[in-house]
Amino acid sequence: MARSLPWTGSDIDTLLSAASSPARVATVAKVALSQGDSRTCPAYLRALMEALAREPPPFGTREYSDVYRAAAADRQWMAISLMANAEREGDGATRLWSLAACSADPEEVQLLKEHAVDESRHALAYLALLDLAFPDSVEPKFRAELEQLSPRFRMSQPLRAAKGSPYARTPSIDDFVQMNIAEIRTTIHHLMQRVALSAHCPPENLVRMTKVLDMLLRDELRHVAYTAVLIDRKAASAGQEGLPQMFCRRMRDFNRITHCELAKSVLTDPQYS
Amino acid sequence: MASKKTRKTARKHTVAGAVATLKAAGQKRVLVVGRVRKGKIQIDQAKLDEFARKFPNATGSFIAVNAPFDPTAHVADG
Repeated sequence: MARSLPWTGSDIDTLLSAASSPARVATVAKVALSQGDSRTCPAYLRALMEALAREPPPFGTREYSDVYRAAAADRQWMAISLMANAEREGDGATRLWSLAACSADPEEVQLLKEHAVDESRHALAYLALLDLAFPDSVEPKFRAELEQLSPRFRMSQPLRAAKGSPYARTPSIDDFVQMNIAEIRTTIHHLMQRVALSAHCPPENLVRMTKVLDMLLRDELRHVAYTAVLIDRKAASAGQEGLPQMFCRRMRDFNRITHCELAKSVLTDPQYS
Repeated sequence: MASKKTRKTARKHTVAGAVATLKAAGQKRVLVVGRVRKGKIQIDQAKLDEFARKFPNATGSFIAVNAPFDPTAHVADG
């Protein structure tokens, strides 16, 4: 479905140089879909563009980048942020594992399982970034405990839904729309982290850190691409004329979540408070 | 042999240099203390409170989301 080859340096440059605006959000989706055997996904792109126009996401704004840059300049904030990302990646992996276990479509099962394995690896990747950018910055006992944050899923493991998980259900197009929007934001976070971490990382660790970052970016773009393809396909097969409305509603929901996360920052918007 | 004045100036510079180095090290030093409980990180609350006065929540903002964010109200296919 989505290509397995790495995205090129020029793709990364395109993403890094895109101005902070809804257009940057669209650029992430377009770069993700631009290569390999990913289809053009016309219904998906139409719905995304409409949602970006009607519900412009705060994570596409310059203010959002500015707030991040100010916080990320603080080494301790940045270190804790990497840990928080490791925690969320591990948690997300478990949710995706449950969704994969409940899908009846073999291709969806495979894609969701791969996604869960990726996110499980990402939890460890964020810890690797922590070690590389801030060597010896975490109290050793705590650092050892952080390894628990990854469920360490492998493709060879049999799938099993987590007991009582709200994600132990058949995934729907709505789930893939939510995942796609969230993955686009995660990609934008990644682009901001890339710049911030390079300022903190000791020179001798820069090459290794860039390799970890490239792996993360490649995976995030692949997740944007495969969810886009599934959304497009499901919309076509089910005659989902309401896809733009669904995209708008979920973009609005996620914008509200983003605003809540930044409740104390300059990004206060009366619409969401 | 260096004069008393030269030695004093050199010592002054050495001390100033050492202080500057220590200051820089202090600014650069990062030590995060916390623990993991039931899959969640728990960071020293005083440190988080200090961040909260200056920055967005370090553990709740700018974080990765990769699964559906609404676990309850999902729209079924078709």
